[in-house]
Amino acid sequence: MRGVSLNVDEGAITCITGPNGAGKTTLFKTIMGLHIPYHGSIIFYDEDITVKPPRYRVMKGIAMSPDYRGIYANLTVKDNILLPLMTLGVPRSVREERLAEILKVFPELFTLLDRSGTQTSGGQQKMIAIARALILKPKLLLLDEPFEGLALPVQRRLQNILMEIRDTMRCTLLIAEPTISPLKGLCDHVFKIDRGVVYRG
Amino acid sequence: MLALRKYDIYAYAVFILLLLLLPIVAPRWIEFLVIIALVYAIMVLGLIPLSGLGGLITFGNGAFMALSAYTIGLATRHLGLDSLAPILIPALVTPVITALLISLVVLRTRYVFFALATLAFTMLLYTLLLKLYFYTGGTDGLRIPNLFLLKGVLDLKVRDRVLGDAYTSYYLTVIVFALVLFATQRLVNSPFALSLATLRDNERRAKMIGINPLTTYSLAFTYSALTAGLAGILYALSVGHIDPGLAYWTGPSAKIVFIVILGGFSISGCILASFLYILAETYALKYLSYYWQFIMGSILLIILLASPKGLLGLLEAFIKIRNLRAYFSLRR
Amino acid sequence: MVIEVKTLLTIIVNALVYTAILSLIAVGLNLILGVLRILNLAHGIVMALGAYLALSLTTLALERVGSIGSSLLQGALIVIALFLSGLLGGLLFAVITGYLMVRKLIHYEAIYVLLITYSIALIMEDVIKFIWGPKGYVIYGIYPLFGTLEIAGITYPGYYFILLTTAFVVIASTYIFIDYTSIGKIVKAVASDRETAIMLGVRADMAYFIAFTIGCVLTGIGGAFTAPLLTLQPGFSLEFLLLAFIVVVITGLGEIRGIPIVALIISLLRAITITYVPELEMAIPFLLMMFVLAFRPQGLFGGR
Repeated sequence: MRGVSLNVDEGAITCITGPNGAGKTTLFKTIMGLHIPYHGSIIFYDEDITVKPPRYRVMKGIAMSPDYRGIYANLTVKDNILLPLMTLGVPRSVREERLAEILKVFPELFTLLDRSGTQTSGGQQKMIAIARALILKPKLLLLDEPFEGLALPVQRRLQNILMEIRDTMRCTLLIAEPTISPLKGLCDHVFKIDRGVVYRG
Repeated sequence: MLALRKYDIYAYAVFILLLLLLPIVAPRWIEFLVIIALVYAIMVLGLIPLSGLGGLITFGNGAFMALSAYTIGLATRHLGLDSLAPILIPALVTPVITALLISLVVLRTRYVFFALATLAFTMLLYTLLLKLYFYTGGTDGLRIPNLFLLKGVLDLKVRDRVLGDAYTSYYLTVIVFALVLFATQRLVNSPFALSLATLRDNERRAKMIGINPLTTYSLAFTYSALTAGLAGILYALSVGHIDPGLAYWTGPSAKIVFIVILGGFSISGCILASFLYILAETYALKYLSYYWQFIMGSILLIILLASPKGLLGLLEAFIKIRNLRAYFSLRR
Repeated sequence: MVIEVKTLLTIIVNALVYTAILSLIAVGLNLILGVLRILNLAHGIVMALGAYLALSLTTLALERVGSIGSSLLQGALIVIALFLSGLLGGLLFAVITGYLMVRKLIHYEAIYVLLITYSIALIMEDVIKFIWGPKGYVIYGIYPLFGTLEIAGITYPGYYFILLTTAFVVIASTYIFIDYTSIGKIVKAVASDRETAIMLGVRADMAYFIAFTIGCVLTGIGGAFTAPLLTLQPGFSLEFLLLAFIVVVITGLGEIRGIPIVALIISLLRAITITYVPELEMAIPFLLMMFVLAFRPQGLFGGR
């Protein structure tokens, strides 16, 4: 990656598009802390978090839904969603509360709660991954290719969910997609990334 | 690092020459030390394709060493064998065939599982050698008598003193070492090596371009068994006594793994590491024979903890030494 | 060849006892294997530590407590002593080694850590030899405390029952912990997909350490409760370790569910083999392992 300079507006939906291999996932991983950049810095609400571990960033309010879903087969859907809260030591009652809140946004997950994480369709797994990131009530939500592999009606559903999140949860969204089409009407700002360079689109 | 450079051959040739000339100047105990070091070096070189290039660490090669050694041992004990030549092929074939057979099963696993399976195999052999004491002599082991090289044709025995007062088997060992060195060099620079490396990096992609993991790994595995078999024969001939400990997991099986990693999986690194290890172990055994494991374990641990970059730190050190040696051998 | 009921019964009882021990060791091993993905070559040492500590603690307990009178109380005390030694042995090893290893494991290659376990195994073998000496120990005084059980005309030491119960409780607790507590679930997540877990804010090194400690404690307890059963001498844990390895391979990497079942099969096979063809004691389980590997390399209970 070279020459990435990105200012993300709070409370808006910012979209990053670019071909595969352009560096979208690397960018997200760097923001999340899975990757430490050689040069440059990441400032989050006036704090330099460039070298902080992912856990620190999660506690500060950044959450990510990866491009590969990453749902655990050896945990139930419910546990999958609650996992980040468990790692932060959030007590049980609060966890149940948050789960109920999340289910309002993703009511289709309610019937899946007791299933094993992978006894679900690809689209459902995407929802679970997003719900899992969302349950932290993050200030910044990173979504890496959330629309990938989703059927059209499901895409539309997701678009509505994302807009709802932005409006009701005061959450900043950063979405990466290879093409702009699923993001039509969704983005407040658009950036393009190509071979590691970001520029306004 | 693994590429064949011109001065490599010269360096190795000089080394072999030095080894051949060594007995003239060195006392007997050094000669014996060198035999053991070379025996281990042979086994370690055999590990380079499988573990270095292919990335599969095996803990079972002591078993192949034991197989060939005991083939000779059983033949001398129960069949009255007194010459090396007739038993040579069987002693080599036994570990190779065994390797081929078990590789069909064991190579369906990878990494930790594979290490476990090979470890279980060598320990199985150990318990068999131990329990079937009627045939194998159990913990007492078997004595390998001073065999003729080729009875009737060459009236020379393996532990006869020849040039420079060294055993015949000393020169045998040096020759075999040279051969294995040469073979490993060729292997490591062949397309086969590339297949192994590709398998290690990404097995799925390797399969897609037509590399068969089973056959490739199996060959590498068998090569390591072959070298271990050679080592076993040389060991048996030179030391004159074998016991089930050869197959024990803290015996040669584990030592060669350590040596090969210490040597950074490079040929010269491994040769150097073998010599250093045998030196260290001999002194540990000599001065603190009762607690030698403690000494060796501590040294190993210190070396491991002291290289902050894991294997890379050691590797760099070895590369530097290797380049130094190559530099000195470049006669201009 | 007539198979007597008595022989059969003896075989079964012995196999059950062996299963209990083997399960403890194997679950410990598989937990470490499954979560940390390393082969702990010093695993036999953990068992030995538990056993030798049990030797010392129970000898101490038997001397001091001989005057209490109530055999039941004495028995209870001995059980506690055994349990504590296992716990202590496991914790000791886990803390010392774990600290050295776990941090390195996150950043460096697995082979490197494997070699560390190997060097620790070498060192600890001699340390144990140094502290307790090379001769064999037999712990007297434990069997009498627990009386005997008579089944179909053969008397068995009551201690067997204690062993079986303890193993059952410990393993069941482990299952419950892994499946029903938050920490357990986090450990499962790290075992399954470490990168994603880290992304979600999990502290992978803590998960590793927890899994490692539990694995060591289980093994330590297995070793401690084995101590009264046999002659303690350097290297006695080898046989258990090997069979535990085989059980782990057959069950599947990281799958702790099926271990008691596989352990039972192996123990039964072993008991039968020892009775009729003692030389092949190790060969049969090994062959079974090869057989399973040939047709189902991910293990009987392995998923992927």
